[in-house]
Amino acid sequence: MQQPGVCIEVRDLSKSYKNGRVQALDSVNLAVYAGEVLGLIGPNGAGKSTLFGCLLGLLRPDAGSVHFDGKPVDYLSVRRITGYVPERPDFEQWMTGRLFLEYHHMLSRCDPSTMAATVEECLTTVELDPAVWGRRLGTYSRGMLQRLNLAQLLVGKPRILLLDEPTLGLDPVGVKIVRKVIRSFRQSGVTAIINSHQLDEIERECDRVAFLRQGKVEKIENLKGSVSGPHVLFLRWTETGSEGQHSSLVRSLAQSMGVTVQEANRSWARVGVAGGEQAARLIREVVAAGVPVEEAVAERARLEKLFESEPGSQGQ
Amino acid sequence: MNRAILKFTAMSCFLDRIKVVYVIFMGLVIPVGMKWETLSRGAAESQTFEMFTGSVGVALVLTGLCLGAAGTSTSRSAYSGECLPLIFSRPLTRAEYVVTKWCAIALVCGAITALQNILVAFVGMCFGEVWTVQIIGAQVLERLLDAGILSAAFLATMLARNRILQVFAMAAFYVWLVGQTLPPVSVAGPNLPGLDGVQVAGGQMFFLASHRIGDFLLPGIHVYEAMNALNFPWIELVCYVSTLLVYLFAAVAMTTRRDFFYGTD
Repeated sequence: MQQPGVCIEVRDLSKSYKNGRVQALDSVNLAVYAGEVLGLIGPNGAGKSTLFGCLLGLLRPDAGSVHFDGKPVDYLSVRRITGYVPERPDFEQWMTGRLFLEYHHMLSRCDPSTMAATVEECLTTVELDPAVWGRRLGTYSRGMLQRLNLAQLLVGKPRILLLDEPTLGLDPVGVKIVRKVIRSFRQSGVTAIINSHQLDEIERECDRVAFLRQGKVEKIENLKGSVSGPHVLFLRWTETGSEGQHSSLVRSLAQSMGVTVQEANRSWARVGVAGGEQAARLIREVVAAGVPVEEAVAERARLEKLFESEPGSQGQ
Repeated sequence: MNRAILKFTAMSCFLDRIKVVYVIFMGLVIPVGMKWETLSRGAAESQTFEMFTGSVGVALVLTGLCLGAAGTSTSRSAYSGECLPLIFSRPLTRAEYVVTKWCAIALVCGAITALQNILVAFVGMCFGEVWTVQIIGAQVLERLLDAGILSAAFLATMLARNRILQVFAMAAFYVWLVGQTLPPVSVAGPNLPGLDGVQVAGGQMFFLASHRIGDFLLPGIHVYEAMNALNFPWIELVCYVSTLLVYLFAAVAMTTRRDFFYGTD
């Protein structure tokens, strides 16, 4: 029986390779709620890619199950609403960008009359230069192929997304496009799982993050709730006055409040605060002191810490 | 049957430059050129020519078409180079994939080799050979049937991704090839005494066995003979259809059971 509000449910999922000698997943349980974006992180070999394989129905689990909206993943009705961005797509060299998307449009069983418009819309969304739409993929750069990889995700307007390192190989503009696409999907209530080594990306885009190690979910962190415990506050301001003026001001205000400035330069500082209230007070005082604050954000160093901790030291 | 797979597999056969060059040379230029050369020099047709224009020719064209598993978009793993077919994240059953792929490859391969047979016949007619519509039609149909069974066997082997099976299939293919290219009559000779006789008998036995194994693994239908036979060769037909179905079922079963991911061989 699926929990109410759960869109993706992974129950007691186990998968091993080499006749059971390598345990890739060991009784993984995971629930992703409808409209939620879940980040998947963990060291290499933790089982993230295997979990993705099982989520896509391309790997046959030894035990356990994966359900999307209460249905097994290999149902065609589930595939119809699932979008996938592979980590390293291997394209047919002879295809053109336009043909590639037409192929996926046909595979998605979308209305053939919408093909031309959909393909154009997808290619435009990922900001691929129209001059290359008709060029063979063999002539595309890696960044262009990654954009095309993202464009195929848009075909068929999926409701469930599985993104495997979506920003890999992209330039800053490409990364911005990925963010834009994820946000637009988010606004339309799409459920997503993002597997990434880019922790800042995970923090930026995800509601929760699951940390995998040795085939087990070691911890699930909530990223969008209020920050209650000690954390690092990142402050950035416009440096308009004499050199270092604002920096000194921030330092002295922080000192007067009894908090530590961990790192600072002319236009930003990282301050260790005891909790959300202290952070809010510091921001208020810094603004009141006339520092033109551009950005004030809680740094969740916990993600890096997850990697630093010993295996099994954190309970789920 | 999936229209997207059918269309793009067929397109890959004609738009992938390497495949096109290979297929044109192996399927058309070499056999037609051989026919032309043979007739213009007034020589007898060689066994190699027979090979290129028969079921071995179909296998050669098929090898070119199947290289790169025409029409699959895949995701390459960062760790081991194994591929994960992106298309299976789309609403597509594996059985649908296999059957459509088989249809597309068999049709394209059959069409190319049928065209080759027609061109060979045309060259022959230019040099005064007698070719009837029945002979040409029988050859065209035979090439399509050859393409059908060979494509099914190729697909089953490629999609299984089981090393033992693939090694066995390669060995079986070579045995079949020997049976096709060297009929036992080639080594037939006078009854020689001693070691020479043993060698000849051994060779004959080997080629005969290859022939029999080849017929068992990849049975064909001799269409022209069937057309002119007093009794329709039902046994040939049943052997052909049942073997074809075995390969297709095996391909579907193995693809359905297979893990599409790296590190799972």
